[in-house]
Amino acid sequence: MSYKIIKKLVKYDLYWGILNKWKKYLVMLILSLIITFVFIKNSQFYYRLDKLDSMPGFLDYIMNMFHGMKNFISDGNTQFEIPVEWMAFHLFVAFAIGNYIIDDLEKCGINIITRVRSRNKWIISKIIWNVVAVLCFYLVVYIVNIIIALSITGKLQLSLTQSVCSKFFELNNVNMESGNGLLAIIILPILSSLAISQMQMFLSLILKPIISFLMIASILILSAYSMSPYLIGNYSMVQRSEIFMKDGISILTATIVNITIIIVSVIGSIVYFNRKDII
Amino acid sequence: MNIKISNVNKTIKKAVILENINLEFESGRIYGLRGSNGSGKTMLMRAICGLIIPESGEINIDGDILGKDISFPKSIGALIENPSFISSYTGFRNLKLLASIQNKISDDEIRDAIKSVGLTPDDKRTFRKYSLGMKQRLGIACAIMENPDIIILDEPVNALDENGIELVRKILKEQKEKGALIIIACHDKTELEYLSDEIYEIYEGKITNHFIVGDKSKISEEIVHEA
Repeated sequence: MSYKIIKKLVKYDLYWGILNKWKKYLVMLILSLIITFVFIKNSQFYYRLDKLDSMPGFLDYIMNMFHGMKNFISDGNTQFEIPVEWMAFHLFVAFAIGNYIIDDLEKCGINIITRVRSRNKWIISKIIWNVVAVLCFYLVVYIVNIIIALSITGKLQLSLTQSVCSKFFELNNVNMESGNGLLAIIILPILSSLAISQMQMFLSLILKPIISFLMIASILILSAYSMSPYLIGNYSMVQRSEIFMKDGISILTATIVNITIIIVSVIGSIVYFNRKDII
Repeated sequence: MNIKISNVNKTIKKAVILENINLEFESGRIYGLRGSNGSGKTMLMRAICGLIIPESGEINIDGDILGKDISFPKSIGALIENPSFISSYTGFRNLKLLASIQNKISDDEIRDAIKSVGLTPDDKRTFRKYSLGMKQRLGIACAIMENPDIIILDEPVNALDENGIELVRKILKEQKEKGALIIIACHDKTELEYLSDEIYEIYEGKITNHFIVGDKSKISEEIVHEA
């Protein structure tokens, strides 16, 4: 009975929180297309000028999306530039996750929760929705980039192109042999997004969804500006990982911190929602 | 079915919402809550539904303490403030979705509930196209469709025309005869007295008065006279 009700709630949330919000996924699809096409266009420009050995492949596209930026050191001459692709993706995910649970609670929530007769089941369903919703955004990005890669290069290149990395990401001597590079490019951004989104959902239960979104947006901007282990956006920037940067963030540390944030946010959401007044 | 509220207190953002509430409700009766805006009627209803958690005191429903033994009453139907549903669904589809959670009633029973409030189950209009009165009627249908032991209706005759009010009276009478414990809040003093067996007056979160409604036929006459 209990499992059946959670299954029904999850089905409801996946429908209303993801399928019914297909326009948000369409925006992400367009965003990914634009980011990757601009990247390819720029690469073609440099390739024609012989400043690139070869054109970028699939993993370069993904790197372009999630690389973020190197550690910003303010020396008075260097101007701070927001890492547009990274910021656009993460801000949009934060916006899309935004107010679903509070909106749902205010719409049908009372009718549903009094029938489910469990705050735990209701919030667990929302936690599952949150994970799936974030993964779906990544799925869109990956599908778009796989299709582009297959159409342009005819293959799925799972290694970075050195000259592309040097030119666009200021990364010299990229070493992907250990497999940690793939982990840093593919897994860490996803894990970080899950942590950020769970934290955002927890905050939106306590504060208003708009405040929670603004807090996450501020953390992301501050993360770009400052390389601090306390700013979780850092863990989602591939370029700041130890694989690509001397004294960068260790993959183990990033994984532990992200998992800790997820656990704390999930437990926090469950405990807080059990005490929350539904007004 | 018995609800016993003992020494319940609730403060929200430093404002006292409920203060030392002690009440007892029994099945087969209709209880009216009367009070001005912000007096605490809706909050008391929310507390009985398990939606707000008292700081102190307890709400005991048939031996189970709310928030301790159970999170929500085992069988409750509620319409609190504005009825809210999925705007792109028809009335029937909305109720079917909600009924599917407990899976206790058939489609025919959902249709019957919709008909009982004067709506058409096969109406193709979506909820967003409903008038205020239709939304209110659907909210009442949702609260009663599963024949819950406890029915809580906040301002049930809001936005309803004469025909709608008459249907609400009929529904409440039927549910009461089935043994439901019904709690309603209503601004209309005469209507509340007509509908209720007992009335509690609330002022600034405190119960200030309690009386048993007497001769209902007399009140009914008053309504007819006023109309």
